Amino acid sequence: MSNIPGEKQRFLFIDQFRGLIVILMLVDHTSYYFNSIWNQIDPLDPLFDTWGQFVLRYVSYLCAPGFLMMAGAMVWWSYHKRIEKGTRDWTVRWHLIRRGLFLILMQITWVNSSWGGFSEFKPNHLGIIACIGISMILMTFIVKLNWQLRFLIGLVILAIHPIFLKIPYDPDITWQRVLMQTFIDAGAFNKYPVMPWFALLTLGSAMATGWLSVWKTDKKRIDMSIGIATVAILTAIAVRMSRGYGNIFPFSSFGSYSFLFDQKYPPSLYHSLWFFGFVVLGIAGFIAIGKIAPKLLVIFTIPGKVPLFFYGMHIAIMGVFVKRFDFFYREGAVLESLIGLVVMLIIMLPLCKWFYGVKLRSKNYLIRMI
Amino acid sequence: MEKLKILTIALFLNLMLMILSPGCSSRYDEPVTEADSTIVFIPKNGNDISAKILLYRKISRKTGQPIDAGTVFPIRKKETVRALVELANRFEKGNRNLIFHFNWIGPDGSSVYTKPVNLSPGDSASTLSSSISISPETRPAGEYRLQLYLFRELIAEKKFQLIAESKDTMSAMEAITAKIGFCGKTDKKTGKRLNVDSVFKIRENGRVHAFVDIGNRFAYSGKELKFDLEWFGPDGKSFYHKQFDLSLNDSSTVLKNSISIDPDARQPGEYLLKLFLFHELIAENKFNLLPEARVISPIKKKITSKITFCSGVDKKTGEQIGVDTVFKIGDKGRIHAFVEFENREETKSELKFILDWVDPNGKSFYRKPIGLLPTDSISTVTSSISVSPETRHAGGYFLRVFLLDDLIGERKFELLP
Repeated sequence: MSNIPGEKQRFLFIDQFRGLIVILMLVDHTSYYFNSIWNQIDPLDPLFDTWGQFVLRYVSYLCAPGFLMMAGAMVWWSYHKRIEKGTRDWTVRWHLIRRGLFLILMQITWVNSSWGGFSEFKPNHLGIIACIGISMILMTFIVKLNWQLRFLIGLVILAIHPIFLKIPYDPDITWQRVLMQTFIDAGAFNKYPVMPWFALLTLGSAMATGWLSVWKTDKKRIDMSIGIATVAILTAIAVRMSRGYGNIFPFSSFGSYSFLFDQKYPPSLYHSLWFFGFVVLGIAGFIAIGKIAPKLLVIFTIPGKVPLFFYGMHIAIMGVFVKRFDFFYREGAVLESLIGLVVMLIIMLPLCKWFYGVKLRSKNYLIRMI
Repeated sequence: MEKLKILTIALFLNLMLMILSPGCSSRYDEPVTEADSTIVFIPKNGNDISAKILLYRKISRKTGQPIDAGTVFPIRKKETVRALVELANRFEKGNRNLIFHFNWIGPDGSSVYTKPVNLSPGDSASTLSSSISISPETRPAGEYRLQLYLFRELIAEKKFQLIAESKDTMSAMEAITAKIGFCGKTDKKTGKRLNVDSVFKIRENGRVHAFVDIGNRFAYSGKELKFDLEWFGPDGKSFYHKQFDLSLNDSSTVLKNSISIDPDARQPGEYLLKLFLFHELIAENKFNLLPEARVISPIKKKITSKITFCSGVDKKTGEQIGVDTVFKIGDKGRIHAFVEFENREETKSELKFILDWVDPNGKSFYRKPIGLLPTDSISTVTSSISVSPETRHAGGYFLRVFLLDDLIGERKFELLP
C-alpha cells in the first residue's frame, strides 16, 4: 500500500498491475498500427503465420480481463471507502453510475474517432471502454452484496453465457444487432459484450475484498491468490480438454497454440477462466516482486495510475500520426511493432507523469474522471 | 503446506514457459519449397498432417481432373482461380474435428477471402478446395498468396500471379513456362511415357519422343499460341522443325513430337531440342544417341572381351590392386581397366578396337583407339582415367569396347562421392 501526502489511499500492486495491462495493450496497438499482418487479420477469427505474430497478439489477451477485473476491484473499493466516510449510499452509487456513463460517452466520442486519427466521427458502435462503463453501472446494483455472492454471480454468468450465445439473431436487423452485441455476442457493433465481461468485473470485485480488505498481509494475499489462480487455471484446462461446453475454437493438442487460443470476441468460458487465473496470478506476482525487487515495477506505476488517460492518448497519437498521416501504417512486422512500442513508451510515460500531476492538483470534474 | 506452495509455483512457471516458448508451435519455423512450388511448413512430428496446394482454373468435364494448373492466371470476367489441397496423414489426429482455414491474400497484403473448413471424424475426405473470382472488377493484377492453416497454424502456402488480360505476346512469354523431356516409347492406350531418359541407342525403326509440358498456358488471351520445336543434330544443324498453333479453345497443355533414330537417319552424338514461342526461345533440352548394336560378322562375333577394373597397378609385378566395380572419387585417384580379348588369334588382319568411357549422363568422355596386329602377342590392353573430384562426379559409369563400330563388350562401375 502506498500513501503519498495529498494522494488518495492507493494500492501500489493494483496500480502497477494496471500499468502492466496498459503497456501490454500498447504492445497490441502498436502492432495494430505498424504490423502489416493486421491487413489480413479478422479479429473474430484470427490466423497468425508465425509464432512471433501469435505471441505479439496473445500477450494482449490478458488486457481485457485485467482491465475489467481491476475496474471491478476499484468500484468495490471506492464504494466502501466513500460509505465509510459517511457518504450516503445512493450518492455513492450515483457517482459510480455517472462514471460509467462518462466512460460510455468517452467511447462513442473520443475513443471511436481516435482510432482513425479523428478523420471521422463514429458514435455508432461500442467497445471495451463502453463495456467497462456499462459493467460499472450494473455493478452498482450488487456492490453491497458479500464477496461470496458476487463471486457466485460472476461464475454463474460465465457458466451460462455459452447458452446465451446460441440465441439466434439477424445482425442485419439493427435492434437485434444492437441488443445482442451489446450484451451477449461480438460483432461489428461491439466486440466486447457486457455479459461475460461484467462477470469478470464482478469476480474482480470479489477478489478485491480479499486483496484490499480481508487478507491483511502480503503473504496471505500471495498464498490465497496462487491457490485461487491454480483452481481457476486447472478448471480452465479441464474445460478446454473436454473439447465441448465452454470451448469455441477447436484445438489440436495440449500446449499447442490452438490450445491457448480460444475465442476472445466474445470470450469462451475457457478463455475467461484461464485469464481470470492469470490475472490473479499476476497480482500475486506483483505483490511478491514489489517486496523483493520493487524497482522492477517502477515503470508500471505511473501509467497504472492514469490508465484511462493512457488509453485515450496512445490511440489518438497513433491514430493521427500513423494512420491519418500514413506514417509507416501497417508496413512492418514484429520487430517494427516492438520499435513502435519503445517509441510510444518514450512518449507516453512522461505524458502520464505530467497528467497525473495535473489530476492531483485539479478540481475539474472531468479531469478527475479521466 | 510449503511443499504444496512450491508445487503450485512450479506448475505456473511451467505453464508460463509453455506459453512463452516456441514449443507451442508444432511446425518448424523455416519453410521448405516443394518441387510444385508449394511452400510447406514441415511438422515437427513427421506423421502430422501436411498439405500440397494445386492452383488451377478449370475442371475437365471428361476426367473430372483439374486442368490449366499453374501459378499465373489472366484476369478474366466470370473466371475463378481454384485451389485443391491434398492432405497427407489426414487421419493422424484420430477421432477429432479438424479446422482448416484458407486465407487468400491480395497484392497489398490484405486478406481478400478467408474460408474456414471443418472436417469431422466421419468425413473421409482427404482433399479440400476453395476458389476466388478473378473478374477484373474484383481483382487487381499482382502477386497473390494462398495460405492454408490447420488449427490456426500455417502449414502450407502458395504464391500465384494475376496478370491483366492481354493479347500482348511479351507478357505471355514471361508467364508461360515449358519443360522438355524425352522418352523411348509411349503407351498407345494411356499415352503414358515409357523409358523416360536422355540417352537412347540408335536402332532400326526406333524413335525418340519429345514431350513439352506447358505451364500457365492460359496466361495469353490472344487467338493462338504459336510454338515451334526445332531439332538439332550433333553437328549443330537443324534437321527437323514442327509448328504448333494452340487456339484458345484448345485446352491441351502438352506438346508431343518424335523423330526417327533409325541407323540410316541418325548418327551417334549429342542432340538438342529447342522450343520457341512466337519465335523466342523459351526452353531447350539435350539428349544423346549411342551407336546401334549391329549384327557382328561371324569372325568378329567369336572375339569377346573381358573387362576388369582396379584402383592401382603394382609397378614392379604389374599385378592389379583393388579389383572392384565400386570406387571412391578422390584426389590423384585413377581407375585402370584391363580388357582381355579371347579368340583374337583366328583373325588374319589388324583389329581396330576402341575403348569408350561413358559418364552417368551417357556421354562419352574419353575414347582410346587400339590397333592389334595378328603378330602382336598381347591379348590384354589397358586404359585408365582420373577420378579426381574436379573431373568426375558420383554415378554409374561404363566402359564400352568396340571392334570397328561394333559393340563387343561393356561393363559398368560406380563412383561414390
